[in-house]
Amino acid sequence: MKVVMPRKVFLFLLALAFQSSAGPVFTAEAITTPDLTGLWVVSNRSQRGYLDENFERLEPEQYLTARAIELTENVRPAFDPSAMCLPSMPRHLGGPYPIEIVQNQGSVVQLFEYENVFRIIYTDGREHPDPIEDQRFMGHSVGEWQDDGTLLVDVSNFNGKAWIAANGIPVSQSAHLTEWYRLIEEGETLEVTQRYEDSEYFTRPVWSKYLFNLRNDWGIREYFCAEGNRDNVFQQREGLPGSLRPEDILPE
Amino acid sequence: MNNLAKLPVSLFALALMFPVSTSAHHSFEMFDRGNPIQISGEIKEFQWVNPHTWIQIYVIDEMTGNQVEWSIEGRSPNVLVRRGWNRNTVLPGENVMLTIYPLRNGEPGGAIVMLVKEDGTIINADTPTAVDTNEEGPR
Repeated sequence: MKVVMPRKVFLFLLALAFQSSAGPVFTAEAITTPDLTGLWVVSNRSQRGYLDENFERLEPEQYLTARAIELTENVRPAFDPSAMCLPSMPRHLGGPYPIEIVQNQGSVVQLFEYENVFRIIYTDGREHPDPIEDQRFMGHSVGEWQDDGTLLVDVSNFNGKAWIAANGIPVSQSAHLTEWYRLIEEGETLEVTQRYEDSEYFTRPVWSKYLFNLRNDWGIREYFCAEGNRDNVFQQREGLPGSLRPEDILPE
Repeated sequence: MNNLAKLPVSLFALALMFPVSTSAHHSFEMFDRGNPIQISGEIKEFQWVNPHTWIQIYVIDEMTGNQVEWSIEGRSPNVLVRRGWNRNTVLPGENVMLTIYPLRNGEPGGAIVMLVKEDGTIINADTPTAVDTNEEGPR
């Protein structure tokens, strides 16, 4: 595991060492917190989909409510919020575009190439805001470093306007996502385990596990979806239509 | 302009060559991936834009003799650039043959699978999405 002392922590400890009365105070957190900073590209080794706690595939009847199953049977791709350039979690983490992680004291920031959006995971002890005041497509994220170097993240405050995937199932305001971030394979791989719960559309928690390859030889590029999005059926102009039509429904 | 034909393609051969496409931005279910076809014509424009690139191509309808503009959707510049493409990979005025998955609704559009230039150069457009280019994987 790659263990890096953040520069600010090092300077702080150095300053403490020069104080005659108070000797240097090395906390376990300061020297064992892994550094997730880097450019990460989702790996084909990831275990995607809706899995049980042992990462075995579940059938829709095992995890979806009747209402959710009904929604999946009448999906209109043109009405997918993603087709209107709107982001969402946990869908956004699944790629396929790279994610740059910048780790600071008190936060871990994810810069998503896809949609040019960002997400801040606060590790400074703050709590989720009141959802009456702050609801988000990406949810609000707070994290806590565990003793084994895992970053445990709690995501809440979803706005209910996104879909979990192209399957038409909304991420409701009741949705709750838990994530475990862990460096493995000598820090060359980032493992992200997710547990997703939403009592409105799911009858049980579902799990997935993503692996990301460290590719610092890459850089994230710009991606402004609205640049040429012909798939927004509400903005289609005569002459250059996109491929989606409002009446399209996914074939069974 | 080339002989602008619209030809069915051996499904079996293509299925082996080009696995099913996926897209982050929207479902590709509106494309008939079981029945790829070929179209030929002159490039009007290659739009190097997100969330998808677009090839606008003039195709002569064999039945009517009329020129029809087709809109062919491709992967994003972000994906394609990591597979060796750039904004000049396809140029206006070029005559090309495209293999596409046509729109199910019969309108003149589709998703690009492969492009053959006039000199015979073959460009695979059905590249894997931006998963690690060091890995083999789904497209």
